[in-house]
Amino acid sequence: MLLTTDQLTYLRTDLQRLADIKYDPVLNELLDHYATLTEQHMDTGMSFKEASKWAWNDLGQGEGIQKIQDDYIANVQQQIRCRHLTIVKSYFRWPAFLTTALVGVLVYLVVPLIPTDYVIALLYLIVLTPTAILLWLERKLRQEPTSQQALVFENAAKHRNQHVNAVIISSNFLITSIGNESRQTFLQVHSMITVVVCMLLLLYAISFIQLLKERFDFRTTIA
Amino acid sequence: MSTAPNSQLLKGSLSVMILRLLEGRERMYGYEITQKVKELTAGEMTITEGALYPALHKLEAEGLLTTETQVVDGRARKYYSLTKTGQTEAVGRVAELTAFLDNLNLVLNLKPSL
Repeated sequence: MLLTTDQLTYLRTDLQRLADIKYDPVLNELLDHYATLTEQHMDTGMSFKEASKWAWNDLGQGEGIQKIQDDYIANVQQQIRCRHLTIVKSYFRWPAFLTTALVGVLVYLVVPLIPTDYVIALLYLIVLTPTAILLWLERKLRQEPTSQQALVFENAAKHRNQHVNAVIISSNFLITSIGNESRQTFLQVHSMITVVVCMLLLLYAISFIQLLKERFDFRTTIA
Repeated sequence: MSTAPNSQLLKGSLSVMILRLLEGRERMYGYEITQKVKELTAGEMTITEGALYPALHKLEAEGLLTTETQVVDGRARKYYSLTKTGQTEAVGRVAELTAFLDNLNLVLNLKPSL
């Protein structure tokens, strides 16, 4: 006996409310299993409500089902970490390091030619860029909290704190440089270090964008 | 696995069972696998969903299984099938488990006088 759309919605709600299943891939797979079990019981003459109760019991009830989701999360997160590491490795190669070093030298040479206030304002802007990218990612992923992408967000959020720390350290560098007697030299060195660190952080933040674009559906195709 | 005496014994062999079942078929979905095991063992062995899906996801992550989702009866159904690596791995793992069971049998059938 085939279930109606309303009955399927009822079973979906059971999974979401009673077992806190929130990720779409797990939810869809368990819904199919739950629905098939329910149909089997209905074929023996049970009503939908009664059959779904039996099916819920067969399915291992809330706790057993949650373990499936926990296992799924651990599995996907491991895949995310592996993939992210591959992306990061592909970014951090000699061309990236050479470009960063050259940009650092360029900043060192250009800073004396720009008024100090502008340099400080520009540095703050540069320092905040990688964090801004991660915050943007966080906002974007909040729009799809039930997809596998939400797990990418969790990874990005963990690293955002490291970026915030880097921003604070860089800011302290800037503050200590202001008012110093050899201000110009300090500012040159601090600007160079800040830009180099921020370029590396920027690459790291961009690696999350690539991770997000891949959408983690590479193992699954919709027929 | 739900039958208590079997649960520990079957834990390590579940992935081999899945690979073996998929070896003979183009593709299978979760519920179908549980029913097939039940049918083959005349109800002696039942696989719980809590054991099946983590095992399927692990095999998928290892690259031994590939998945395809199809809408059936108004809901998404995820089918699992063996990858090329999975096919090779299935043959190896089944042979390994068979050899282990043969050796286990030899030990279990040992006469007390020996």
